Amino acid sequence: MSNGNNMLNDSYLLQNLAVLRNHLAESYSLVQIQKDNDGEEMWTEQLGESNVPLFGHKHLPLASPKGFLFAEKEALYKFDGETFETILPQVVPKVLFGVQACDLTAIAYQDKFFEFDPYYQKRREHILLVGIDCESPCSNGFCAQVDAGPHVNSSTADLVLSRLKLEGANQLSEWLLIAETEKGLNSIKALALEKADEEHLRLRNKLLEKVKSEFIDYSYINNAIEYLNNNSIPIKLWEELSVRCLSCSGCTNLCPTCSCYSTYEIVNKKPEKTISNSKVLKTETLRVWDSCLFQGFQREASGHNPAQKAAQRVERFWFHKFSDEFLPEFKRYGCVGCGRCEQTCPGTIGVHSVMKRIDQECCS
Amino acid sequence: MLQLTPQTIRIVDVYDDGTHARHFTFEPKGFVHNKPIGIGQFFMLTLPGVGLAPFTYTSIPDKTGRFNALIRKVGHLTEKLFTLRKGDVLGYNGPFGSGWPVDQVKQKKVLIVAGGCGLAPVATTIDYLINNDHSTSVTLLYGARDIESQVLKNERTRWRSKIKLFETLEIGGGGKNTINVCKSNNHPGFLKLFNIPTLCIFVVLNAG
Repeated sequence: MSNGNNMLNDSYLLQNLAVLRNHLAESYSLVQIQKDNDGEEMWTEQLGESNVPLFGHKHLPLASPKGFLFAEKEALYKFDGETFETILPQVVPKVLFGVQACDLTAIAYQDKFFEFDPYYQKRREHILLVGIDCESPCSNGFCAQVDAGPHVNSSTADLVLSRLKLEGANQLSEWLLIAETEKGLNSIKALALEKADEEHLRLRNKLLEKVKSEFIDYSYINNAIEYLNNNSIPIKLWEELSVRCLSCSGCTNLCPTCSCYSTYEIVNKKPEKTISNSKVLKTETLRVWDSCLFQGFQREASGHNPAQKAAQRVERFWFHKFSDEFLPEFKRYGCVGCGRCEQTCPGTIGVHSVMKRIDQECCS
Repeated sequence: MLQLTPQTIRIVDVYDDGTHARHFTFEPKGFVHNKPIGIGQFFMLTLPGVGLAPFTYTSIPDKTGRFNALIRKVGHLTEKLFTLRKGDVLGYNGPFGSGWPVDQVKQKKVLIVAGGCGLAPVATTIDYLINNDHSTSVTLLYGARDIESQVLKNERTRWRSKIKLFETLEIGGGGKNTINVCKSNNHPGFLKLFNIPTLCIFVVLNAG
């Protein structure tokens, strides 16, 4: 689907986004961005009555849409006293409308991590991804540096929307709509759309080069990645950085590729009595997002903790994001350059702060 | 897809087998093992309301699906496990792990060294070597603190006529089937003591 000819065959022009949105809403529940009461932008399936959905590359909510695929909290199975029974999520087809390239790359990353996870996959197979090309760099974002944007990477979305600013068109915006997958193509089959031509695809590429050229110099990130993989970062630096980690899990919750979870059981407090008068214990097992920056995350049953020190946990986190060790499995780094960790970290040890510090320390 | 939900197993036999150790036999309830289980692989037991923990197979499932585990009471979960009786049900997930390359032991002499409840993980290896005629000879050197600490009594009785079995005790050895040894790191001397010739394969496990 991603080669030139197919892309041309599956590319269309769209004057009015509402046509596409309304059409998809007939078959899918729409998941869009809206502002909550505090003015925070968020992905939501429940659009408030007075709210207008937000759309466009400039709206990158602090929380990515990962919770729609990897639920923050969900039941896994239950025990009724005799047998265990799986509780798979009840799902309806959803369309995530207007997802940026970084978050789409993260979803593709999680698709690999959760390839054999029945809960994730049950949700994933019912989700249609409509991506959007970014038209300018966002603050904190360095997607181009880690091969995650600013344009939607091939095959990470079912449909891609790219705004073409046509010269001499009196500011008229026209959208290029590309079907990247069979699922995407089927979703728009019933729409009578004008085919795009090669000129439109060339214009998209031209716009990509323009956006790429607008990114500021993030070479310290590449330098730091190299130092990290050379094992040339002194322990003292990790210790220094870790003093500022509050173990709040803000970074791991907001990171769109973070996938760690733990499980716990809810025990029925009032065991039912059977005919034989013996008590039956009923339980439900749930899983919730966890964080490798929590002190107890790696603690073993014996009580031994291989990451007892905060410095070990902070080092491990960045190793997981930028180590070459993960390339054979995931074919890319675990960071998609969204910059959310920088935005949220109360101790200012998000990606930019850490990578800059590594670059400065190791460079000297 | 991964099977995260445990399958139900029932305890069909349980008896004390060593200090703070019990020998369990489990039977699948409403399922059959759908994957072959390799030597050296392990499984998880789930105790509803308590938690889950990994254990080693002391015997791989037979035709009826029954399998054994030698479990030592070492903490919260095993303490609860030891309150269960014949007929009680619990959860099972497995097998996990890659297992050991036991098929590489072809026509070689094999020495297996195990200590305490560390004998449990090698029990399937010993049975495999006995049943598949893969090695020219098998020697098991099993060390324990005292006679009460020795595990897998029934298995050792069965093996005694089929392999060379040396048992050592730190305390109270010298009786039938046991040798009293002091702690020694002198391996060549140790091997000479048991008259073990040139060796090709070592399998060493310790209770840790």
